[in-house]
Amino acid sequence: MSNEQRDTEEWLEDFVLTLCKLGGFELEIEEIALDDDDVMTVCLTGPDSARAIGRDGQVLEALQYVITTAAIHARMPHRRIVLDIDRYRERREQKLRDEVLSLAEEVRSTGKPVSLAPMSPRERRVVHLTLAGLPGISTESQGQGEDRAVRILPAQ
Amino acid sequence: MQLKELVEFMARALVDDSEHVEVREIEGEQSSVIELRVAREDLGKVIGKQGRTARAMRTILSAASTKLRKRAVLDIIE
Repeated sequence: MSNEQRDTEEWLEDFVLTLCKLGGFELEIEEIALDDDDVMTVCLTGPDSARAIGRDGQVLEALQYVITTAAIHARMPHRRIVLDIDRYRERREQKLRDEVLSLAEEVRSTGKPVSLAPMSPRERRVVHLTLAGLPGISTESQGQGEDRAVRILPAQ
Repeated sequence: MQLKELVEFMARALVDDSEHVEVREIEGEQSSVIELRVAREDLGKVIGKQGRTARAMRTILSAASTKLRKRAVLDIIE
């Protein structure tokens, strides 16, 4: 493990645990992992996970945003940080993959394009990668900022 | 758990001038107002682009306050 990785991990551990403690979220760190794309994922688990995830993951997104912004401000070497609680993102991504695969099937059989709801860059990436290489359809993103959404189209 | 300390911790981690972070809690029976004051130069840091940072702090604050069965409002004083 590099020094840079250790620095970010130590900072994260400290920051995340303090944030949880002050917010009254009873959670502990399950794992901190660095993937091949240089994304550092912090996984939390504990009795307060549902409240810390919130409806549609809203609280989870807010916590991740504050953690990431604070890490950049503290000049941490690893800036791409993902927070996950009770593997919520993992489960949601699996559900998303299943959903878009069945929508792609629909587009292929009806020949009509389908627009998905606006999603985060990370989720749009999951959609594009899941459908990449499937015969008979293609994907594109449309819209700006928080309205950016993926469309599934019949192949030309 | 102290909502005031939660806001103070987040704000200090986001601003340049952490000495000028001041947080005051005005407690009511069912709701609390948390007033946050930062140096003028740091206002943008706690508000964020299109208010995104302030919105994130408010979301975290309300999730935290449900444990106290209380409503908490974050007021950023400009």
